[in-house]
Amino acid sequence: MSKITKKDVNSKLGKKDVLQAVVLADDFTTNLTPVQNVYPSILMPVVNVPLLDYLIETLVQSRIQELYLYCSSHIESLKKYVQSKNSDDISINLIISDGCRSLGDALRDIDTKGAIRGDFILIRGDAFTNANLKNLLELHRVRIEKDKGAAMTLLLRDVGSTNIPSLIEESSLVVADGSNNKVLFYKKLAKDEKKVKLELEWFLDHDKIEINTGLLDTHIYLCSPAVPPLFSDNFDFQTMEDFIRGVLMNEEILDSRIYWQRLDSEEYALPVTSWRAYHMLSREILQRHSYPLTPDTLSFVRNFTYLSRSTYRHRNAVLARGCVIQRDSIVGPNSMLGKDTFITRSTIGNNCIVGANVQIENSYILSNVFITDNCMIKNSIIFSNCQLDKKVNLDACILSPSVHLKSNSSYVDSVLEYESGKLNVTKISELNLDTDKELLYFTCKESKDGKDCDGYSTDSEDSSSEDDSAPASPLPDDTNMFLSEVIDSLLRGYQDGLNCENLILEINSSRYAYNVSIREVSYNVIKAILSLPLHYLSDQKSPINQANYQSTLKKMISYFFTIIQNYIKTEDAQDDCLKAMEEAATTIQELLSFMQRLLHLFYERDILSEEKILEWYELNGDNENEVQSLEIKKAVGPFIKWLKEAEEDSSDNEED
Amino acid sequence: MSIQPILKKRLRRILVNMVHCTEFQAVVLAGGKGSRMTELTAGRPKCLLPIGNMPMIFYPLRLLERSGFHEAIVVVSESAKYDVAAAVDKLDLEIKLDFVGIPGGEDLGTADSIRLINEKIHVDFVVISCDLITEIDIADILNSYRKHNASITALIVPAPKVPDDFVTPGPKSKQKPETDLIGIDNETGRLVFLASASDFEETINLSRKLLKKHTSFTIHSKWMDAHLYVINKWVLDFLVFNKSFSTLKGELLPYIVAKQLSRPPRQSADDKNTSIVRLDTKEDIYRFAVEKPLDTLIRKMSAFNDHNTDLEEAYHGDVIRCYAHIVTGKFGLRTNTIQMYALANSDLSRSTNSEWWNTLTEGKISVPEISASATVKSTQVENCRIDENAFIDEKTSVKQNHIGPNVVIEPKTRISQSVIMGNVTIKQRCVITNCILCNGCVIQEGSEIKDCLVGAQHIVVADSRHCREVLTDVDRLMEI
Amino acid sequence: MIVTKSENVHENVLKLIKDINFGEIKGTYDIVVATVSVLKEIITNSEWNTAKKLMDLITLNGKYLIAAIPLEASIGNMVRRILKIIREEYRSELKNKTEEADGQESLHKILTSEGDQEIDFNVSVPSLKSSLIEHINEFEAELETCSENITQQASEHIHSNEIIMTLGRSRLVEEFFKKAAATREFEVIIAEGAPFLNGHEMAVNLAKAKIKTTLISDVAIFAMMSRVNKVIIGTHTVMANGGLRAITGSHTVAQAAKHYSVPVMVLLPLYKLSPLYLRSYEQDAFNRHVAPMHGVIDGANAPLMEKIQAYNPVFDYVPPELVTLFISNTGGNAPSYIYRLLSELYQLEDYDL
Repeated sequence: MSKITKKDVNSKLGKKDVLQAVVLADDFTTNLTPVQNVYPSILMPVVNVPLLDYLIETLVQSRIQELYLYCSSHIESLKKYVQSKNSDDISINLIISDGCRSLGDALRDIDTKGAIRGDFILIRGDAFTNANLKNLLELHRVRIEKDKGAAMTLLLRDVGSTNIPSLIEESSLVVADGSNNKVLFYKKLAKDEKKVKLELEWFLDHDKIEINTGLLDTHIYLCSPAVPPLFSDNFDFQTMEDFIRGVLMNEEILDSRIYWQRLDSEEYALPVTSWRAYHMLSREILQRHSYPLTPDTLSFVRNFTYLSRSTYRHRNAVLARGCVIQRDSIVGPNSMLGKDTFITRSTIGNNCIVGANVQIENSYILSNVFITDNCMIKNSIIFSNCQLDKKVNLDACILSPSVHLKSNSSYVDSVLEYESGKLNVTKISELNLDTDKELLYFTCKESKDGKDCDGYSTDSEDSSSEDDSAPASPLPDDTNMFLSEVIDSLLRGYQDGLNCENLILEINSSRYAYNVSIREVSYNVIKAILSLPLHYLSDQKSPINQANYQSTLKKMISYFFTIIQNYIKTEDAQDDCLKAMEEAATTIQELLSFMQRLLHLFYERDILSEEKILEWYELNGDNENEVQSLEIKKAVGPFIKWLKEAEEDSSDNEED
Repeated sequence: MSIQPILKKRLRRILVNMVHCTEFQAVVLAGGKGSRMTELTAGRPKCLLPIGNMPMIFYPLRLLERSGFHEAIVVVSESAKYDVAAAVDKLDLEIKLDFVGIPGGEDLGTADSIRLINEKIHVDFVVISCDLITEIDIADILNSYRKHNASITALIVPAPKVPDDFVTPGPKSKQKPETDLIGIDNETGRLVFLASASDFEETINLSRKLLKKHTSFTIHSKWMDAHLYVINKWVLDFLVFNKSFSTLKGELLPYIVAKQLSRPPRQSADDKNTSIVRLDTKEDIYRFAVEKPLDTLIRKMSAFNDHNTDLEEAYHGDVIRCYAHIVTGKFGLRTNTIQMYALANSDLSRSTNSEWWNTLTEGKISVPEISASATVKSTQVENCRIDENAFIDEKTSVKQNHIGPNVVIEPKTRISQSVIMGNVTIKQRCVITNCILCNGCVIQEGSEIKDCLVGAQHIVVADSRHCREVLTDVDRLMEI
Repeated sequence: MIVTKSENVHENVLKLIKDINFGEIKGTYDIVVATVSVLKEIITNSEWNTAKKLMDLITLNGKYLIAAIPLEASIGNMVRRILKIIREEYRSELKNKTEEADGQESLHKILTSEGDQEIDFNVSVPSLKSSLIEHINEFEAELETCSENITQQASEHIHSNEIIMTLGRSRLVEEFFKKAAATREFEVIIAEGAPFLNGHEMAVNLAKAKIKTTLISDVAIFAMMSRVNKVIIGTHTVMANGGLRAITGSHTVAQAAKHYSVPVMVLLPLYKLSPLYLRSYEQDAFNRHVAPMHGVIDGANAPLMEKIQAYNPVFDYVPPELVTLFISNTGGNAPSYIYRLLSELYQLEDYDL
């Protein structure tokens, strides 16, 4: 089939018809801090190769002869790069405009420059694809023949589900005419929305309306020549979303329509919109989803050998004895890995030197990085020319170019960069506060697998809240003793893997020994469980930090679930449970940010009822204006909001 | 002839019999008043209005019979029970019928009717409305129901297209045809959205949950719900328990369709602690919608999945699941409006041997074009069905008509494209085009009526001219 | 495809690489023909005066070609063939020349001049070019008749009422069956050849040619093998030890055939015979791994793809002991005879270019 269509296309287009592509070197909206200071989006290396290289490869394969590269920052590096790339197959022209700040501006600029002669392909700088764009453009032309006002065809990839953690921000809702794919409504599914309003008219005017949600904007748009003038005429179009919304709203006035096209399921596309998407793209390139854009088949990188479990090694890379490359990894040319170094799900760029006994997981190490022995690098991105001395410990960090870390230093969740010769450490969580958009960093993925897809990411919380100033209110002696008794038995139970039924018996007997009321029992049991991770971690001599605490707590809750269930049965017990949680959260710093997940968990497991939580939440607000209770209120706010909306939602459903 | 076909037939009969006795029961809802066609139903129950000279109820009954049903429960209004029973008796159907009368006066909805006869239903059942005129084989729908072990499977057919040149008798109706909005998942064929367009003002709210769960579905506005449902027994139990539903299509079905999105409350280990008070109707449906232990086992052991784009288990783990069985390209409509009624008749009269009629009757029931007891003296009879004891005098022209029993047509009269019910008398020199004449009406000499409805027992005075009107005794209409 | 320019590489070579990579030239036969014509072009249009120079030129371009398209072993084969032709022609031309000088010593000459190392390729022979072109033209004609020569043998291998199994689609196998069907009736079982499912097309083509055809899924290969008389498959390359590099599923078929002692015949146009060995499965460019979306997993299944590793290799390696007979354009040969064919086709020193 495809062969035939290809031939048809060839004959139709003829020789003189030059196909044009416009590539915006910057994407203006990408969320890849701090890349924008280092590269334009188009030169961002993915699996050691800049995005532009992949793109040119795809364009040449699709017989696109002219490429306009619209540059607005890092112009020198782009110029240099393009000079090194020039080939006969495609002519690359630079359009330089310093200080352009949005996609709208760029297109207006392109319109005034008048470089566009016919239908063209607009590609945003963060796009990656291996699709045959020529065939797609031809489909767009067929549409134009039917409808003169067809301005643009959105190229969307069907990812089948809205529940992919790394793409959750990107999946969009498309409401379109089922017979010809004319878009009626297009929108990114924002997290907070519960309902989507659609016009009744659409349904009555069209025989069938197709509603798709698992679609991903590939950042590739097949455009008619009318698109740049549309931008020029409407100064309020800044982003692509603005444009689509604007055109759809004023379809009649502008006499333009937007269509969408599903990417063939054999073809691949993924824009690098966030670090999570970057992570996903890198892995999928290594797993060859993007074939033929894979390290061993790209003509300009050559000499990579594809080994089992999706690992690649350059012929000039040197691996010392005992060095393990586990999976989804690549080692670039002239890189050297030391003895017993362990690498998994990571890319290592050109000319990197990695010492002995280094562990690298889930990380991206760009070129010319020097890593000394015994380092541990997890979930991090290290830009080029960095140097890590011995025993550096990194988890979820981003290192700007040329950062030098001294030995034995350890960083978590931070962006490290040099500012006027001084190392500047910024917490990733703090970055969010400035940009108001969450920095989607790929470590979130780990905490997000499983059922919890509603996206309560923990890193949006302010982790630097004040220290626990108010100690827990002193309890009566007997109750205090009971509490420590319970903690002891639970800790022992957890460590020795005792049966929960036995633990319940044990707790009950201590209850009688210390003569505490049943309400106090439930209160204390919850409190004990929540403080247990601290005891456990100090027992294990592991550092107490948020991540450790939370993961241990999670494990413990599932382990002790029977116990919790046993004690929290009545409404009174629920009250006690919530009180205990509140109490614990004020004393245990680590719990605070976990609070809303905990509530959610208990709600889901039917420990706590919706009414009780809401009741507690309202009550909690009225409490003496303690800082802590406000703190807690703030921490669980999103969950409460969700809960309320969920309730409305289900009641709405019944009315429908 | 070999003996084999007979044996085969018998075997099939036995099989069919066994299957249906234990698997499905059938309910025909024929108690409707025909509120959208009051002009016609003044004289007789809606289910007995003739279509191609057969009472309307013949069609669903024949449909059931053809698919192998041997018994059916027919729900009719108490007052019409005997009329209907007598009329159906004449049809010579093999299917055994149990007529249940709904106590008169009460205007019961479809769900109420079902609730009324719940004691007679022991298994999953098929509900069919008496106004469904179609050739579709129910067996396919049952198969699609079985395939997914659905809660409800609804038959969806394209809304019939009214030919441009077709004029509905009677005044131009202002009422717009009802539009169903039917949302069907593109991958699994599940019914995910069902509503009537008139339920909405300007916007339709789709919940995020729906969008998330069904990433690709299509909402159709040119299809209609044919009011043929296969319903799981638990739905009936739920219906009996929850008295707030009065209609199937309007209330129960949208509710169940929407309920697919919710999840059953998790059963806590200790039942003592779930207070009874908390059990409101919202969760109640899950007391009825419980997966049978065997089904659970099958589900756990099977690798089957109805969809593959996310990692959810088969059917997303839903116990409640509604499916749409879509049939296109076959004849199917609901004669619940005058327009549809006229359309069904005209479709039959255009050619006497319409294809769907043959499929439906399998050639077994051949309605003689002209009944043996009818007297036809006319020489210009074309595409007509003439029922018993009709008398058509000479020098008349009748084309594309359905002429009911005991009709008298006097000479020099031209009648075309009309439905003439029983006991109608048409005097001399009349011209009748595209009309529906209800039973017992009299058209006096020299009348010319076109595109009209003539009510039961009405007398159209001599030499009158009418076009696109409803001719009926006003007081009669008032009665209703 | 961006091809970095290299000064010494002929422009037609670059064009050939582009065409193959763009998929404009497809199928081993077309690639072979194109390669030969490019090499011929180099011989006719380049500047060279001695055979040595020419051979260096061919080697350089050939190496470049092989590196650019490592998977198509037949390109390398053609380069080797051309080198061999140059050697042969040079030797005979040189002989002619010297014979003209002193014919008496011919017997002695033959005795002493064994082995190439003694031949000095630096002697300029003006008539070499024309005789080379002539020889290459002959070779091209041989290529053209290659598949015909193979299909001619069809009636020797396929007998009446036999049941033959094949896998996927091969143009040559298809022609082979059609040829046999002209004179006798037999049945073909085609395994569909997942994930590319070329077998479907094959089945349609054979059915159109009025051959009794059954299409089976790959899982049924073993089950169906018991009733099969013969397996006839095509191959992508034949390695120096007689092992095959053939489409995925070939190994399954060969194993099943072994189990039921069904003979496995492989159609082998000689240009597919390559003097390379499989050293390890991780060998560079032995196999092609394409995207798992090409038939293994639906691309819309992103959540699943996140959790698993999916492989989609295009080729299988079939060890020589599973092959009964190669049917080449020169006749039937056992795998153990491959080395002889190799030494006939290529010069030993060209094995490693």
